[in-house]
Amino acid sequence: MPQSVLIVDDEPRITAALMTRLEASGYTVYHAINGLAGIEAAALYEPDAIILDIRLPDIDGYETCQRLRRFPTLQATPVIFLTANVQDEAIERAKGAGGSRFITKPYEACDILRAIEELTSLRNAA
Amino acid sequence: MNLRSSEPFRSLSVVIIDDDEDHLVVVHDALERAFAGEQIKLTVSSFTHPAVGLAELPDHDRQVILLDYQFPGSTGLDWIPDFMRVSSAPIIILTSSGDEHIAAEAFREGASDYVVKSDIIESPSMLRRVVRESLRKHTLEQTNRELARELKRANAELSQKNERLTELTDTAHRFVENVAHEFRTPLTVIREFASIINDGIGGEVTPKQQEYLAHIVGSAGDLAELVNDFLNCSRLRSNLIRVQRERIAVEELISPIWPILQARAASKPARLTRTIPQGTPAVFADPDKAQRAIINLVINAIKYSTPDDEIHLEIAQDGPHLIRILVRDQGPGLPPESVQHLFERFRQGEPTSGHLADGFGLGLSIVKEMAAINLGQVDIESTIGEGSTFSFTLPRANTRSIIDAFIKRAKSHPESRQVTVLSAHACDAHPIDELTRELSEVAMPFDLTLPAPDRHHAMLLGITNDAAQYRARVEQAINEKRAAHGNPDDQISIELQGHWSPDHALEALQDLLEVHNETEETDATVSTHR
Repeated sequence: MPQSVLIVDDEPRITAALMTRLEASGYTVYHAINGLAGIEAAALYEPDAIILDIRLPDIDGYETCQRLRRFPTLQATPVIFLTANVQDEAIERAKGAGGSRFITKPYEACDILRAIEELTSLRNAA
Repeated sequence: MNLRSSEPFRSLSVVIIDDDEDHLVVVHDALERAFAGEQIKLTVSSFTHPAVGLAELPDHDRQVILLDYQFPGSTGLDWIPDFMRVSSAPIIILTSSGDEHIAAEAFREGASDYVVKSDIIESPSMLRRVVRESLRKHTLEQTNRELARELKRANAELSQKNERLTELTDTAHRFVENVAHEFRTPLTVIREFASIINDGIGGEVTPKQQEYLAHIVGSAGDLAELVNDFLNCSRLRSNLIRVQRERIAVEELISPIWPILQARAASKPARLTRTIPQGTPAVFADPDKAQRAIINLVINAIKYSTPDDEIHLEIAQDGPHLIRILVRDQGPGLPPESVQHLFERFRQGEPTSGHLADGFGLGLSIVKEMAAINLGQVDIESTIGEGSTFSFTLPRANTRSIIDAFIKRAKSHPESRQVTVLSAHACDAHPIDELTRELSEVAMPFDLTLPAPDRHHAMLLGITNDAAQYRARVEQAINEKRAAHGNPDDQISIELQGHWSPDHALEALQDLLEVHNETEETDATVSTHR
């Protein structure tokens, strides 16, 4: 069964770039354009990994992640924060909110693919 | 400011208040006699009750009030506050002989002086002296008050300006942070889609097309580095950059960035090689900052290389205390006068006050600052037609080498500054590395934090011109930070250990940090927190 990834980002071009890359690597990709839609989609599809932006139009990425973690089915889902914010404080907050990884824009596609692979295989091994 | 005390005066108003009309007359008479020989227009107003005097007090800017002590049902002293409320004129209390004991009380109430009526009737010159003296004192007091007011006003203005300046710096910094953030998204899209095409995800790509795509990816990468450089600059200038120096092997410094550098060189294409001699001692550095300096030097070398040139990264020991990181290119090289010029630009001045991109690119400017933050120095060598070598130093990871580099930094400060050493003690049993880390968080980028040799307290080394102020600032900052994190009770006390001119600092620091002249790795004394 192919693995699935949910992208929560309000930048359509970033989403398009990520989708192209991920689909080319064989993933099923869902996407949501804000935090609340992201939570809904995550609860519905239970993706194998979530890529989450910090700046979102409704609730921010930190809060989105915290709320995701309240669903028993999403407690162990890998969440990769993808953001243009490179401050240490942002990294700390992302960790505190339950993030699994932190990748900054501009990203290298291989970093994202590797992070998804590592995190999902870790989870499957556990 | 009107300093009237020294001016001769032309007119004088005296108000006499006495319930005895005979006394009013004799005092008036004494006044006339006292000022008779002088070119002064004397106006005397007499009142038999303080309440009337108060209500009808003439308006005059050089005025003295002679106020009797004894009134039916009250004393002159009771009225002093009322007079002081409506007039700033000095008040002289008139007493009868035998009432001298009230003098102290009169002064306490605010009287300027007191005289015994019988004395002034006998000696008008004495009355003249008392009046003049009261006026002089009064003018002086007024001048002092005005000066104090002015000082207060100037102070308020200064702190307002200061606040405004801080606000401006904050705004400028926030602006740069926002711009950087906004740049990153389109940059990511450009680079990512170029590399998606390049990887053949959208269909087959010809070798020529791949070459062109590599230019897009490379340029987007350059732009991304530029954005990072701007951010670093802005953080440096706002003192927002956080410095976490640690012991690290040179190999560990290079390995994580090597693939990035290789990819960058390949886009030229240029050959990137490296030499790290076996047994190269570890350095004491903030890895991010050192890596940024190396990346920028390599990018600079790539910029001036022609295809298939070699760029060589080399690590060398430089004396007993330093490791030098060199980047050699085979570019066109620089004429001696340009090297001299660039060298001065590259070397001179306080790193945080240097001009941005002043003729030689933001990238190299950042190298200088990042090297300085790691207590290192930069150098350039160049020969026309052969190429250039840009390099910077890092101290070895032992206390002697670190303080040596720190003192060298203090010496290069354009204004004479002192090496100041503080020690931090926590009340509870605080892990020493934790304390050292907390101290480094409130330190300025160029300060140095180390655990003390006994590992019971932490040391902070700064380059300052006011050691006491520096101590106070650090103590306030660390305790404010702790209070904000919910540790208000566990205060950290900061002591001033001493301050020395850079020329005398080495010996003092060696004693203080129990360092001997050996340079073998005494790494236990170097914090390795991250």
